[in-house]
Amino acid sequence: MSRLPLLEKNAYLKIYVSKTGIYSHLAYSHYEVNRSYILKDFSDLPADFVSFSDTQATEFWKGFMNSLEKKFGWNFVAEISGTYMVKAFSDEENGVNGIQILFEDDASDLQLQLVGLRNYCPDIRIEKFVDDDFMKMLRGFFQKFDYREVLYIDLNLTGSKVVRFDRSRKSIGTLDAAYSDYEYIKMQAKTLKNDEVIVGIRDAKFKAFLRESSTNAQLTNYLANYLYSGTFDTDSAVIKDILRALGVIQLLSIYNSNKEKLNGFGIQQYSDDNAELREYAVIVSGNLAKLLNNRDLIINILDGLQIRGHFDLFYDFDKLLCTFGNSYFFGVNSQDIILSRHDMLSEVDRIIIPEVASSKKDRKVVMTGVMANAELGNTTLYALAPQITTIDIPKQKVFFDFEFIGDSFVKDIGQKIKFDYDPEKHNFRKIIIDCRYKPVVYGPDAKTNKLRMEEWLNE
Amino acid sequence: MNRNIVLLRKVTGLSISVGSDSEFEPYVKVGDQVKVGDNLFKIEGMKIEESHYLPDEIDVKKENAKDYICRLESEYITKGEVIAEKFMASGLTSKRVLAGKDGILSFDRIEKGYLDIFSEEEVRMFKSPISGQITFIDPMDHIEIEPDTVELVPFTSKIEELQVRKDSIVKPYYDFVFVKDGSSIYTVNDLSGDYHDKVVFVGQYLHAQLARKLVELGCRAIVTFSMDYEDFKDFAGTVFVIAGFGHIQMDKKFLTLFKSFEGNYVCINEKFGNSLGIINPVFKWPFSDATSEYGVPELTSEVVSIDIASFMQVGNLEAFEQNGEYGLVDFGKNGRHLIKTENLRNIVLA
Repeated sequence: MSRLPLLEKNAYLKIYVSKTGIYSHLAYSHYEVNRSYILKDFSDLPADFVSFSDTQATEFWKGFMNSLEKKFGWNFVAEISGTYMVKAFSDEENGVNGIQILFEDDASDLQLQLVGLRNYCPDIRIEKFVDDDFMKMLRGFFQKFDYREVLYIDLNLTGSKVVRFDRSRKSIGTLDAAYSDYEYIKMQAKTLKNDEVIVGIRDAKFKAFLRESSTNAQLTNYLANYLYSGTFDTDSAVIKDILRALGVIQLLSIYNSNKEKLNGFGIQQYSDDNAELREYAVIVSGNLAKLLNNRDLIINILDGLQIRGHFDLFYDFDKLLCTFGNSYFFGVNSQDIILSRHDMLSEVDRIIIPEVASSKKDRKVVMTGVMANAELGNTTLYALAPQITTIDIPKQKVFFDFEFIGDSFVKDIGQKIKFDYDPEKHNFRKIIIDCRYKPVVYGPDAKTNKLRMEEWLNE
Repeated sequence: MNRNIVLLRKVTGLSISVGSDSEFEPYVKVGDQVKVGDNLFKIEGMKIEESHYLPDEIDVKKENAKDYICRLESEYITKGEVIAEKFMASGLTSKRVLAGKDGILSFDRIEKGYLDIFSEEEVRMFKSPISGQITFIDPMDHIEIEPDTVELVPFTSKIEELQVRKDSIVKPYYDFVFVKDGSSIYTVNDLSGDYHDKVVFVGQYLHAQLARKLVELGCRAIVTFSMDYEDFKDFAGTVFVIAGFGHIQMDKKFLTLFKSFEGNYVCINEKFGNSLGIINPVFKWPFSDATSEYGVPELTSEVVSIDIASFMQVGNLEAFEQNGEYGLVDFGKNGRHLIKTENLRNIVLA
């Protein structure tokens, strides 16, 4: 019996063009020898990309693809009599079964890009990535992981958006329902230009979120160089602190303008049996999210969007869901390539945010619990207020049993939470329990914030 | 991939217009290659030698100025002769206008109050100020020349709208001059020479006070290696910042490159967007041979850091560390540093 064509050796290149940069992903799979991987690249855009003429677009893509081949060590475009064609796939490092370029809305003048790309290589599939495609991708996510609601956060330096995707309100229990039956709510912070970001950091409201002190002149020069140079990575503690503060302010701004739309996420229970805690998921993406360390990112999400209750946090810094999301979710029904979970998704964190009444005590125990399995026995766990506690999950089947004590509880669930972890079914990395007193307060200055954060993170 | 720093970019299609306000006879044709100093066209005609504004000189209204002329139109007059006169106090005294030069009297602008003296007919030869190919000739108006051009792509720039400055006109090109040898940081006391309608390179760092003084002296634009962001934001003129904000040390390779453009003509127009066009550049590229806009740094290659702590420093990539996440770069007398690979770039001539 012949194999499914997609189970043969296969390679596919997809490129996602957003306002913040170009995400290139080359997926390879050879399931017969259990080999698959995705090569990834992120490149920032030239300043004048949005206004490229078709001729400029042709030259740009010719140069970009040439450089990308060198980066990946893979030939995927061939020149034949002056015309560029997609090189047919034969083996690793040689050819692909297709190239697709997806343009995010407003990333560029699509018409001119279309003409430019057609002039460069007419084989390349070009599409606009619109809200419909986005919903299709999230529907696939629901089908794969059986969550009721998803919050997709795209956290970027110059503007962020949050999308709430809720299948429970219109078509409960029907996984095959058309994605247009799902409720889809998009919320966006104002897109800022570089100069607006730089000027904004002088605002007292912004400074109230900082934890590193620095003079204004130094701050603005550093930040201006960082933003204008187009780099996204830095070791500078000052810059990272500014970006962290920027992130939480952006999300807070989205929250304040959309309280009703975000209401109830994380705290409304759907099933009687909450042993799985599989109702809520957050997917976080964006260049700002990628830059922050994990604990700062989680604090940004919690404090910016004021989330309570619980959710599972997925990370998609490379925008793999935008390129190969549907290929993964549709499995053997995929049209281009079949991908596995370990190719696509990083490990997931489970976040629990209980209500904790403030206290005059410096620290108090608000949760006790047990992590149990046959091999490890019982491990006692506890969480203190006002701290964020991290529990690493071993790569074995374990059972968690938490009890919140005193007047601490998780909204709509209560004081007891129990769930299993099975590495065959789940991909969790750690559990994070946010036992800080709510509402969380920042300011009035960097020194106070620094001390407060050290207390939260037990540093 | 790292997007390399394109410092210079070759440009085609720039046209420089060399014009005349009267009909001319061209000495070249479309397609000809011309060098600096080659004859382009000649004009035969007269030019205004001297002009008298009668309302100021003899206190008359401009609409009545014609009544006070005492010579004939197109009459040849010599220096010292009376050409206009107004009598006062019943003719006992008068105010007179005397010709300051020999020439032919013209009444062409008398309705506006002007009495002009034209020179005798002469032939003027116009020579090409630049090298390039002749692309267009309109013998009533101008000749267009397409020169070899590169654009100097700055880190950022601010282009002032010229119409806000009354003392300047839009010129197709400007002289590119230096403050001293451009190798240092300069103050107002270092200024000497004529900066009016010129593009001025001020060296490593631009102080706000120096910027204001140069604007006062009428310079068209300033080119600097670095300046403070706050000064850049507040600056009302045209400035090209090559490297970035703050005090950034200028590697001598940058200076070598800029010095090779001293004395060239430069352009500021929409063809170059926010960059500076350099006409007929003659230079030897002082950086590596990289030309692509994207790429990854290679071992032993020359790289530039855009890490905030060592911004725009040039060094040699000696090794990769921590699975390629960091590069060990030798910055010469600034020492060796570990820089995130993502923050290392080539400087390219694209």
